[in-house]
Amino acid sequence: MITRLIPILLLLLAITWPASADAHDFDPERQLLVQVFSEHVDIMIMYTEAPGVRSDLFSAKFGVGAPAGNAEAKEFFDNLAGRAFLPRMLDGLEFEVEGEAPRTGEPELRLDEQEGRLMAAAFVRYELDELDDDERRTFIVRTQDRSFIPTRTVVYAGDELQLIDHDSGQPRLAPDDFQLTRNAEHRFSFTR
Amino acid sequence: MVYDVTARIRSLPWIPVVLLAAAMMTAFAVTLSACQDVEEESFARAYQATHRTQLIGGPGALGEIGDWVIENDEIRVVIQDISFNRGTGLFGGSLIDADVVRQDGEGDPFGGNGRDSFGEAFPAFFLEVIDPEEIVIVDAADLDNPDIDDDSAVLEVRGRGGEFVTMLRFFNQAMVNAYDVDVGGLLSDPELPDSDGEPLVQFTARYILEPGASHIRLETEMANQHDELLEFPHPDIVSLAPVLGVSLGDLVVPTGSALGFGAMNDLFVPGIGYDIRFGLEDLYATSDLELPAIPGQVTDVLATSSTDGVSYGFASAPDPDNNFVSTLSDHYGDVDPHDMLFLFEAAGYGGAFTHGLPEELEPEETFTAVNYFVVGSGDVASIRDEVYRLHDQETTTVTGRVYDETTGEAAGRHANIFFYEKPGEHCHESFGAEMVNQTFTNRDGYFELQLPPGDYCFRSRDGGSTSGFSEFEVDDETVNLTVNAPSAARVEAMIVDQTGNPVPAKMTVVGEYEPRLNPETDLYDLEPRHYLYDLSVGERWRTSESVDFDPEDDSPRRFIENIEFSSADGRAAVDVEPGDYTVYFSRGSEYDLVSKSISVGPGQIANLNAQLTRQINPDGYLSADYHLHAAGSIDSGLDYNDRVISVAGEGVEVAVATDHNYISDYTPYILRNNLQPFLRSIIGLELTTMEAGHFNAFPLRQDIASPNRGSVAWQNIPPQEIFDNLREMGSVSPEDTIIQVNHPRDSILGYFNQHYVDALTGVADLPVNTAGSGLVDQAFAAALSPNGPAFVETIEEDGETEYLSAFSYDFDAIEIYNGKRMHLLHHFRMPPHDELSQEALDHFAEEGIDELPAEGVILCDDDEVAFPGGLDDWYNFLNYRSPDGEYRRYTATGNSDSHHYGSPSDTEPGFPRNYFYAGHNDPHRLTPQALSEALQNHHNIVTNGPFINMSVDGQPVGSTVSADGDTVTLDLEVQVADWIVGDGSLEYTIVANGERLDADDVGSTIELDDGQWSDSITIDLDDLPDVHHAEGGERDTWFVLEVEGDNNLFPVVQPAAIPPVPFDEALGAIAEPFGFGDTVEGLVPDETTDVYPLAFTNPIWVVDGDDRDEFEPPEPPHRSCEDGAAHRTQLIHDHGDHVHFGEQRLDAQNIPLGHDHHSLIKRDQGELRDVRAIFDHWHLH
Repeated sequence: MITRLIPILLLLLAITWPASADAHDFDPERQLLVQVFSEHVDIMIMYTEAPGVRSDLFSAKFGVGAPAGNAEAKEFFDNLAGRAFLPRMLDGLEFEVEGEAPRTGEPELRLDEQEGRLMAAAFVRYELDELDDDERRTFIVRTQDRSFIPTRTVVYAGDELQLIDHDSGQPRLAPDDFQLTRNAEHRFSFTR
Repeated sequence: MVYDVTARIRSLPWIPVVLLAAAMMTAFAVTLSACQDVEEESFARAYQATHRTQLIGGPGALGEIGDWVIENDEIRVVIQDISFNRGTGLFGGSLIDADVVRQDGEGDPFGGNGRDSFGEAFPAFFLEVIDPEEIVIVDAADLDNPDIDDDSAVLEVRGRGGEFVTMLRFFNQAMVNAYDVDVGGLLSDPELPDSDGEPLVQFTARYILEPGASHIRLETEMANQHDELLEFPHPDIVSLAPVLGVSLGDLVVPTGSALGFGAMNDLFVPGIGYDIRFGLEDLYATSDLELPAIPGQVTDVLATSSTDGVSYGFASAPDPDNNFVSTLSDHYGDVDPHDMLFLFEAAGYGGAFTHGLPEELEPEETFTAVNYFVVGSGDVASIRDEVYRLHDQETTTVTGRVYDETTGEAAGRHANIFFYEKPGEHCHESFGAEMVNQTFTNRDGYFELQLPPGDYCFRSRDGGSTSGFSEFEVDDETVNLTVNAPSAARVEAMIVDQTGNPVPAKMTVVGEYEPRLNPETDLYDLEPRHYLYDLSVGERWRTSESVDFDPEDDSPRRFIENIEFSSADGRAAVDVEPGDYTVYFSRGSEYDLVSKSISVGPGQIANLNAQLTRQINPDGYLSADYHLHAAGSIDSGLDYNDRVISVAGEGVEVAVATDHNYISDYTPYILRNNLQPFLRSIIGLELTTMEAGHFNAFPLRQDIASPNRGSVAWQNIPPQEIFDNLREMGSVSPEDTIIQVNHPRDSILGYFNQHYVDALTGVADLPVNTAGSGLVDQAFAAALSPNGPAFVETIEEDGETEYLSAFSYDFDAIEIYNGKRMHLLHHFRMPPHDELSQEALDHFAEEGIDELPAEGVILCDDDEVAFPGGLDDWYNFLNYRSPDGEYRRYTATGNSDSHHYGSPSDTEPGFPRNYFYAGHNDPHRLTPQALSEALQNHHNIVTNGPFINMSVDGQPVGSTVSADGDTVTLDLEVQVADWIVGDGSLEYTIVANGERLDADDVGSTIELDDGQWSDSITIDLDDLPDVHHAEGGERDTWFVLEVEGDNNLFPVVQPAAIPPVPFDEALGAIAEPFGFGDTVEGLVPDETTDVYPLAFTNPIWVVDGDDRDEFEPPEPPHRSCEDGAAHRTQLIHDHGDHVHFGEQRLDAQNIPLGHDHHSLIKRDQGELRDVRAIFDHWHLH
């Protein structure tokens, strides 16, 4: 059974983000890190907004980059602001673990500002059933045609798993400068 | 249940003696047959009191006409009407008086014939209380509850949520949804709450008394009156919690009751007995409970005992679905659905959580919790008996008689018997025997109580030591015990002065003990409370002579066995355990100290005579204590007679009565005890707010007709208005009324702390104004600081909101030195490096601080002084103008704040004390106006022993003088009794504009000649280091003389061996699982200390100018808390290698001390290339 994973992160919006009609005026940057383990998948998305009105307004509203009272406070506020920023970070991406139903907890979010650029990072862990020795786990990333953002992607194994070629089943090295293409599906398989 | 036969007989004085004996024998037979043979008609009623005879009365009674009385044939209680709380709580509607029905008790001229000694009780929903809006009598039949007799009396208190502590308003209201809390608004635009918004919940406290019952059934109810579902806690507060440094986990919002049993009653908790202080502390220290569980003692009952014939108890009704500990049995273990969690006791108040709120309430849905308030006849057993019935527990009668084990005679009234559940084979605490009950004997030594079937042990005490364990078994037949109590010994004395006249004095019986090896450390650091005495059975604490023993030294140590005072007749008598002692006789700090050795066996009496000689008598000065408590205070309970006798016995000549929210007058008791040649009293008050400070006011008028004798409201009233109201109560005039700020830096009880007075500038401002610009800081400040009109003045103008601190500078005196609280004197400074604990060293390493701060540097936490002290605050006020531009000269005072006498957890009256200039030496001649004038003119000297003085050209302390050219000559004087110096020495220090002058320049040595010393020191104001003045400013200088000694004042003044439990620390016990409460050992002030001589004067102000006579405040450069190394000004005087700390004016260094240490969310640290680790390190600064 193929289960599409609609990013649950979208459901945690606290504050809506203005319509992104002017998104095409910017050149955002996005990185995707995926690490697949025998019992879970870790996903991290890093997003950088171009300097300008959008960055400035968002930073001012949520105090991004301002000194926080403590680490936990900063974490909370980053979460709060990040939830408003998440749709943009995730725009056009879908994740799936083939044949499995991952269980997710709360995403973690961080925001920062450097040289006028709003930067965000999101981390989420999806729990999975333990992978048996003779089983294969395939992680799928899909991109959509709308709102495509070029995304540098790294997908690699954690603990005792290893990345294999999806077709041949042979071990392979994780590409370190893989770019997601528009309206495409990318598969990464792992085994023990 | 013990019948007070004596009281019954006393009321019928016309009965002949023969008939009297027969009546007594008959009465005892009735007693031992337990139940009454004659049927009495039971009833129950509730009404609003319209005349005083309907009130209860008694030493703790607060009831007034207009309050609500609920009574039946067994007990009576009073519920305060809607008004400002007359006790120390906040609102009306609370239970304030309670007693058993007394047919023939002594009448109280102020109403009733009872012996109420209860403080106050009210329900609490987490920390939210009821702010009552109406009180009504309800027909029990209308409740339609099969558990309630239709003939019951029912009173309902209905209202909205009220704040126990405003600084938790936001958090608290969100926990119980009392009001519509705008969490999002707080985050996006933090504002201080100026009102409570729309109430979402209706609170009801229902007091139900059935005919014949000895308990009140307390039903506390929450009703959702909102049109939407309410969740507990509010889901947004769960999200907000991390901002506040709190982790909520699966929190169940607890409810229960605040219980102020009052200091006249000894609180007993099964499992820890009477050792509440350390029983709970040990629990907190060893608890590994995590949320939703909270540390505390799980118990089925709380009960008090008192030899005054009334006791009080609290228990919960079985509620398997909502009982707090029962629903969390995974955390608490084997518990029953009627058990509760006892959390803390501090300042006369205790707290218990009984139920947990449901996760949600639908609109119009109601949650009800049922508890019981029990009134007994004086012992724990009378409470237990009723609770066993309420819990449907099967019991058997246990009866018996107590005998003196030496003489074989039957004991009299109030011998103690303690009962333990036998854990296994042996009856011994080391085998886990748990105390479960206590009873008193009647006047003939008999006792009776109920116990469930099982195996038990008992111990007994009748004035002497507590016996060992004896075993017995309870089945279904009455048990009869014969109890032998160890005999006491007795010391009796006659004390006279050098003229041969009897005097009030103090007798201190001192023994020795061999320290025991601590098996855990292999050192002699095992606390004597583990072997010298047993607090769990109510034995008194025996203070040792020092808190700083060498743990490797096994030499015998002295301890105080007991203390007693003689009154004007010079006679003192006290029971002690048989043994060898040294008995000391003293009379405060002006008389010598005399000792006698004795050896007393069981039943023996030692008779002694002692003569005390007055060694100093400062001419023109009277000694005074401006801060004393007695029975009018909920946390004292000390009989007024004992209070005045103890004050006179300590040689204090003027006593200001300052009970909490109660105006007392000692004069009648002074006269009654013939103490008028020795002691003069002044009427005063300690207006005690919950979280906005404590203020003494005197001299005042007393309103004899008022239940609290004229004390006034303080709730939600700003300080200036409080000060104005207090001045209006002055007995001389408003202008002559002294307002004294008490213990200004004492946690949540300190006025300066609660109003955020900057410890380096003396300026008060609100956290919302001083918080950082980030939303997090703003949210913190808005959500967690004290608020309401007592703290904040809100100004709306042109759509802009401005918040001003409501702090008022309009007071007259500051109590710099309070009791033995040495840690509250100075801003806390870096200890010597070789004294730092490993935990402290680790803390510096964790914070990345490579170089330890210099010894003596003031420690800051973030941008605030970590632990401010009142003396340094006072120096700030003396150096700078207030924000309004006025230069205010506050008079420094030092007071005992004594609540008892001879108690190791309290302070002896008169230590410290003040010497104020009266112009004569006769306390009897003193007028209130003269005292007021002396203080307004700052003619006041603070001391715990030596009398010191300072003058310039004959002008006394408190004067403003002109320099002679650029120089000033200080004439110094010391007088001291020899025992205060002992084999040690005294040294003096001159403080100029807050800086200590170098001893090399001005000297320090005091060479006494028969207890006297004097010297003169000339100081050139131009030679003073520049830290004393503003750059380029006038050289006006104020001077203070300080004297310190190195002799331990034991046994006259006991060490501070037991740190007090401040209220916020008690609340911290609740906050601990939320992540609050961590401190760094070694980097917090030590609250236990030996007491050494210390004295300081008020200033002499010196004007350095020929053409001026107005003193210009010197305004030396401020320090600030900054990161890294100590921040000095450019003005440090060069002393070569040695830089005396006094030269470093208030050097301050920011050392993160983790005051608001929050639980860090644990993270797994993986390899650096792990995505998890990459995220963790993303953009860390």
